[in-house]
Amino acid sequence: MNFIEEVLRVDAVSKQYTRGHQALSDISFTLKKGMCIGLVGESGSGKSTLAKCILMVEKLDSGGVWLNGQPLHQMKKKAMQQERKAMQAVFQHPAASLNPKIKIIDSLMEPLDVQKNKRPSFLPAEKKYTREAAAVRLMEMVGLSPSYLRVYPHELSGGQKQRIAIARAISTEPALIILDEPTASLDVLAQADILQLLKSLKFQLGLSYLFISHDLAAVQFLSDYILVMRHGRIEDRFDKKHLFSQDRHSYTKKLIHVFESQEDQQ
Amino acid sequence: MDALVIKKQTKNRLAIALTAGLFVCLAGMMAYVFFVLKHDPLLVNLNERLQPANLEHPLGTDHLGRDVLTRLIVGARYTIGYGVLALAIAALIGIPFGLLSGLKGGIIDRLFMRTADAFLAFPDTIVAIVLSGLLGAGIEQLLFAIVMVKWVSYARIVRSTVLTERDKDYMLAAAINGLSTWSIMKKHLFPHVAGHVVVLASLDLGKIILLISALSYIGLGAQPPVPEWGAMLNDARPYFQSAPSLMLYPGLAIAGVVLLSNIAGDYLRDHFDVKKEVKE
Repeated sequence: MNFIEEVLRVDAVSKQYTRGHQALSDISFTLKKGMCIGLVGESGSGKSTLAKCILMVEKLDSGGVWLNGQPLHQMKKKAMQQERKAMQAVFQHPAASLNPKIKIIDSLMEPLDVQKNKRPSFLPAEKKYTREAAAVRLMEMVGLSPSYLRVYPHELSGGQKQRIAIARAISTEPALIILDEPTASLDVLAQADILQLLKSLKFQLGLSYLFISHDLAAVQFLSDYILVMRHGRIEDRFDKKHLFSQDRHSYTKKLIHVFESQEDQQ
Repeated sequence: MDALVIKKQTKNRLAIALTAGLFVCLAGMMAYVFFVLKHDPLLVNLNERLQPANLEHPLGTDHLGRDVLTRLIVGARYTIGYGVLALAIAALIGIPFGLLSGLKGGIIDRLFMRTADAFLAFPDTIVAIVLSGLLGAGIEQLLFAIVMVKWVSYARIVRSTVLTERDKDYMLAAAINGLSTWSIMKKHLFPHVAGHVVVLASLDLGKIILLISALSYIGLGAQPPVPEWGAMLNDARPYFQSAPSLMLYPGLAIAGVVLLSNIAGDYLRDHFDVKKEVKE
C-alpha cells in the first residue's frame, strides 16, 4: 500500500478551547489517494472540530496537518489561499450550505471564480471553456438538470441542494473532500442516492474523503478505513472489514450495539 | 395558488400605480407653479393676505399674502429633502458600525452595544427634542439630532443580520474557497443587509418626515420664513378658525408623503421577503 500517494497526514493534533475543554488530543492518521476514512463517534467527541482544524478554519494548539506533502499549519494566509483548491467540504445542512439570496450558478461556481476561471479537466476537450459550460458539466456529473442553475436554493429539495454542494466541492478537482455528516438531515431515499453518488464520484475522479458520520451503515458503505473518536481522542482504528470483529474496543462495540438497536426499532 | 399570485400581483400593481400617479401629480403641480404661476414663496404681499382659492392662487394665500401652493412645493425640498438626507447619513454611519461590530465581535461589539443601549434607552422624539434644544433651533441642528437618534437602528439591524449569517455553512464554504473578507461581505452579506436596510429606510422616511415637521411645528426645526411643512402648520395656527385650509394643506401634504413612504416600505418588505414567497 505504501506506493499509493499520501493525500492527508494529520500528526499529533491537539486543540483546547477556552475554559479548559480539550476538544482534540494527540490525533494522528494518514489518508491515501482514492481512499475514504470514516470518522465516527458520539456528539461532542471532536469530529467536526477535527474537520475544522484540517480545513484550517480553527487554529491548532500543537501538531501539524500536511496536504499533498505541504504543511498547512505553517502556511501564511496567501500561500493558504493557493492551497485551498486542493481541499473542499460538504456540510450537514444543505439549506445552510447555499446562500439563499444568490442563484445556484453563483454558489456552484464560487470556487472556480476564485481560481480565475482556470480550465477544469472534467470539461470535455472539444468544449470551449466558459463559466456556463463548466456549470452545466458539473450539474450533469451530479445528476441534476442544468435548468436548476438559474433558480434560488429555496426552489430545490434537500437532496438536490446537497448534490449542488457536492458539485461545488468537486469543481476544483480537490485532493481531499471532507464530508461532515452530509446525509444526516436527508430522508432515507435521498441518503441512499447521495451515498451512491459520492461512491461513484470517488471512483470516477479518484477523490479522497474524510467522511464524518453517526451512521455506521453509511460509514461502512463508503469508507475503507474507520476511526472511532471519543472525548477528543481516537479510541479505535480498523479496516471496515473488521467492524464487527470480536477484538474491537469496548466503546466501538457499544456504538455498534446502540446502532443495531436503533435499526431494529426502525 | 393562482388566486394568491393574482392577488399579490394586483396588490403590487396597485402600489406601483398609486406611487406613480402621485409622482405624476406632484411633477405636474411643480411644472404649473414654476412655469405658469411664478410666485415667490418668500415675498410678503399684505394686499393679497388670506385669499381663498382662485385661479391665480389655486390653494389661496397665507397671512402674509404668499402663495400656499408654491410654499408647499418649495417646502417639499426641506421636509422630504432633509428627511432623505438624514436617512442617508444615518445609514452611512450605521451600516459600517453594524458590519464591524457583527464581524469582529469581542470588545468592539460590546462597546458598540453599550453605546446603542444608551441611545435606545429614551424614545427617539425625546432625544431629538433634547438635542435640538441643546444645539439651538435650526434645520441643520435638527438634521444632526435626527441622525444621532436614527443611526443606531441601522447599526443594530446590520449587526443582527451579520450575526445570523456569519456562522452559516455557506460563509464557511466561502472562506474555504479562498474568498477574501471583503469579497465575502460583498457577495454573501451585502444581499442580506441591503434588503433589511432598504425596508427599514423606507419605513423610517415617514417617521423622520413626521419628526422634522413636528419639531419645526414646536419651533425647534426650520425657522420662518422657510416654507417647511411643519413650520407652515405653526405659522397657520393663529388663523385656524378664520382660514382652516392654511393648516389643512401642509397637514395633508405631510400625511400624504408619510402614507406614500409607508406603502413603498410595505411593498419593498414584501419584495425582499424570500420566505413569504416559499410559503405562498
